[in-house]
Amino acid sequence: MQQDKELYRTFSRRAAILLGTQAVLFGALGARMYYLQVVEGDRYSLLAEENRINLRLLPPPRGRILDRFGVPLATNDQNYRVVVVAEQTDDVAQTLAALGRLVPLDPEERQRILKEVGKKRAFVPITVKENLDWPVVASIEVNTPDLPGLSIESERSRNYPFGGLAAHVLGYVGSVAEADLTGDPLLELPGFRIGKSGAEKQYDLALRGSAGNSQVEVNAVGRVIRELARVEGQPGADLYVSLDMALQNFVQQRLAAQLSGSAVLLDVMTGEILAMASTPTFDPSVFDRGLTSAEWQGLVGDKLKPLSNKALIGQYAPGSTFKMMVALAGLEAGIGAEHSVYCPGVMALGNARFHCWKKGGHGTLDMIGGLRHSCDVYFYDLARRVGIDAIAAMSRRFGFGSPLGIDMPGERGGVIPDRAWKQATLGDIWHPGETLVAGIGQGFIQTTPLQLAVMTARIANGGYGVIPHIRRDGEFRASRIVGRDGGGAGSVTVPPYPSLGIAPEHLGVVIEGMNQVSNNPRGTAYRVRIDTPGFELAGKTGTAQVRRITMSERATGVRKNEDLPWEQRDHALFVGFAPVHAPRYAVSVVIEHGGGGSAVAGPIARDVLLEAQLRDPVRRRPDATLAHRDVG
Amino acid sequence: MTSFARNDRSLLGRWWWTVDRWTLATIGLLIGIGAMMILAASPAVANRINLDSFSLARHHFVLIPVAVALMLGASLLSPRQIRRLALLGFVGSVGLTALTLVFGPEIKGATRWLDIGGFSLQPSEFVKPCFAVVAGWMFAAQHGRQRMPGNAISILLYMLVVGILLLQPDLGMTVLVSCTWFAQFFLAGLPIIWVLLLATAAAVAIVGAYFTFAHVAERIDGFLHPGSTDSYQIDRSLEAFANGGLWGRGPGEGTVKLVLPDAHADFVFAVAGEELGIIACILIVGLFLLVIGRGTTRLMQERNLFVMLAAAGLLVTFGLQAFVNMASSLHLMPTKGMTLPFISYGGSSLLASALGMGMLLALTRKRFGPGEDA
Repeated sequence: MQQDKELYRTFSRRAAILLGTQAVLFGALGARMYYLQVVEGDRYSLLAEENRINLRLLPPPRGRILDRFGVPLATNDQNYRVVVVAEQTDDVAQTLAALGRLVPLDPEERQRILKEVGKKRAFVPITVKENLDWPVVASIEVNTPDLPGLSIESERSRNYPFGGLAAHVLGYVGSVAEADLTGDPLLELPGFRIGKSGAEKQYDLALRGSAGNSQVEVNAVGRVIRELARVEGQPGADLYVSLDMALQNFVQQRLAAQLSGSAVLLDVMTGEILAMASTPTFDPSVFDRGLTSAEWQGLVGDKLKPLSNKALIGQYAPGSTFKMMVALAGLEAGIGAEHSVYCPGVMALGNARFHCWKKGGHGTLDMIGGLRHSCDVYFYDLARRVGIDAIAAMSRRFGFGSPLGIDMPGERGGVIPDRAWKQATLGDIWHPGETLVAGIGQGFIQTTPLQLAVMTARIANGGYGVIPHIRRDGEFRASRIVGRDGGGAGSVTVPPYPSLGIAPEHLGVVIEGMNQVSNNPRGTAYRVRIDTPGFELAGKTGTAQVRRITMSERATGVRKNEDLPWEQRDHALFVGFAPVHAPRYAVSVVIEHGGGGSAVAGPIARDVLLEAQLRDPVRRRPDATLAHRDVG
Repeated sequence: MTSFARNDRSLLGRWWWTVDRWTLATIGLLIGIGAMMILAASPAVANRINLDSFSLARHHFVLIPVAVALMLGASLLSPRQIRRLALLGFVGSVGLTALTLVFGPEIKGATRWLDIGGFSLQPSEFVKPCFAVVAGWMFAAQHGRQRMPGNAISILLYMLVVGILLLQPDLGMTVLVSCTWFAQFFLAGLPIIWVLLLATAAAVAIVGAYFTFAHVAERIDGFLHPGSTDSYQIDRSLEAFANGGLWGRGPGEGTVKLVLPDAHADFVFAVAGEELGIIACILIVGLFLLVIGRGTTRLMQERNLFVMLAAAGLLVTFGLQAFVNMASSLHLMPTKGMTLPFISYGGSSLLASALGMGMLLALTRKRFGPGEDA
């Protein structure tokens, strides 16, 4: 019994130890759970949230583009489609049969849908039919109870109601390329579109808006259980461009008869682009849906370059339209308008002979006469007297030689040569003959149609450095009204840009020259004059040679443009403004390989200027708010 | 239930007034929690292995009344009858376990199951409670009047059991049976020197297992160096606990069961952690501890050595198994394929746990006088 007692005591002691051990072990479980929950809880809950909560981006609707009067030029179309979710219906075939009573469904389509339903997971929506029109959408919505598993989804696509009529200004949108990625997750959304050219590209960020997001709870297989929070994004802002779509339409259609060319019409006071057309054009809508490789190759490989906005990136020798710059350089150098030159049809410099366009010569001309007749010899003489550097300096003041800074992508700057330029780029000294060639706007000089229009505007507005832009001014900037020297009845309005420092009387000579070009019966553009009183235009023709005329050809007779292959024909240019006595609209027209400036480009410029004055968009208030602000 | 009068001398009346009603209630609660967890976790598992959503739950629910009946039936028995039942069960279950070596289909690299009439049975589950009682009997017999060589018989039986389990191989069960047997030997008054020697031997055996069994080495490496091997299950399990927070996501709302293969069995505690929260989990831990503490304190007042040692063995088996399961889920020890008694899915586990607790309830009933002796 003694031994038994000892045994029981041992048992009790050891049982207590065992119980204590188990209690410690179980206590460790509790401590471990506390550690996981409290100490590491934050880290794990973050991990778990990431698994469970899915942040979905809500792409903002892209801003519209409207013309100066609010006519929509780029909009978002709703594309409705009906989808079927297999798990929401007992019998997909029966649902499709019911749908077939509302929308015609081919048996093949039905086969395709049933096949897709079999392949995909049951909660994935499968497109049944796309591009539904609104009555069909409405009838499906009304009949929803009889159509289990069907629902309507909508998707936006970019639509350009005017097609190719303003394609180069508006640009187009396309899917995001690798190079466009900035880290903005919006750009990585499938189907997201960004501006690829024109205003769509220039104002992409404003048009894009900012993304909203939707926090959704998903289960382990990624299916949405419910939406937890939703932050609506900022829709893209509407963009008002300065175009008058009716004018733009007119200009684009007026150019359509030509193979290739461009035209720019702007307000000489504000610099607003009222129309900018380039031909041939393209339909920007097709980029939204995505081009096939063949379509893309067709657009890029076309030698007429339909995708290029030739008004901005086309660079041409300005030809005779450059003579205003030479005249102003001469006037500023102290050579008066009365300076006369005798034109025998050719000018010799050293061994070289420089021909006038008129074989027999013009006889004796003063500066206005030189402009009126566009006499080459007169400007050879003038250029030789003032030198290339003075001509280059004057033309830079009028906007040549570097990009103007228009709010559009891809603008080119052209070339204005001088001694330093030639030394730097060609490593050669300037030859005197090159000054003569530059005097008639040939040789190294390259200008864009936009620069030509701006030069014309700067002449017409009294020598103010107007900057062109495509975004409509937020409000009408009232032109400053300056009293005439010494007071009196007359006063002039001047544009809100800095003066170029050109003496008014010098500009007066050039303007009178341009006036006589179109309004003097002996002017080179008399046949394209506007004879409606008060609407008269002043202009200057230009013909830019793209080939060299050899001595032998000159001996046998210069070939006419019609006899040359298209690529070798001259570019036809015309710049002009109207009304001549109170200038408001400036235009430049460049027709590639069009032939003579007065014959091909002139009539287009004339029609554009007349149409612009008839519509007179700059004096019409776009809408009430702007008018109201203008009053104040 | 309480309609038995104090002086009711019927079998049920006597049972009601002598059985440990706290333990009984606790086990009832555990079975209830288990039923809830099976309902929550098993449909996801069933779906994954392409079964009807509730087929596993249905299987478990059919067995719950069987298990309750088995437990209550066993608890009605006297210690002497328990001893006979345990011996019978021991012989039967060890025999069947040996059969698995010959007939058993190989599942996950081990042969542990037998197909009996459409049910797959894991006979080694039943070895645990039966061996605990039989070993307790033998240890007690050492000190009995007959002076049987109880310790020697116990050692022989232990080696037989461990030998069969290692052949399967089922290392988790081996460790569990060894710990239980060792605890009983310890309680039976094993000299401290032997305790230390056997503990050393156990450590050597575990190191030996590490170098002998590839899957053991893998499990242990995975525990010691998280990230070095595929720690997918344990990572999900820990995430589940963190997800659950204090109050959990609510029954059925968890996600860990969707990705964990053994969510309804070995990792059921993680599902509970996610769906019921830490407070409920600590409550579950508390319930297991209550059964052990309640049983152990009752044993300290016991005077019958066989009852003391057998019941202590049952308690250690039960508690250790629960601990190993929960600790694996919490990454406190290497994952070991072991069920959580009454809560994990698994018919053999449920029935064996019920048998063990039934025998415990029978042994811990209040008896008056010195009781029966061997």
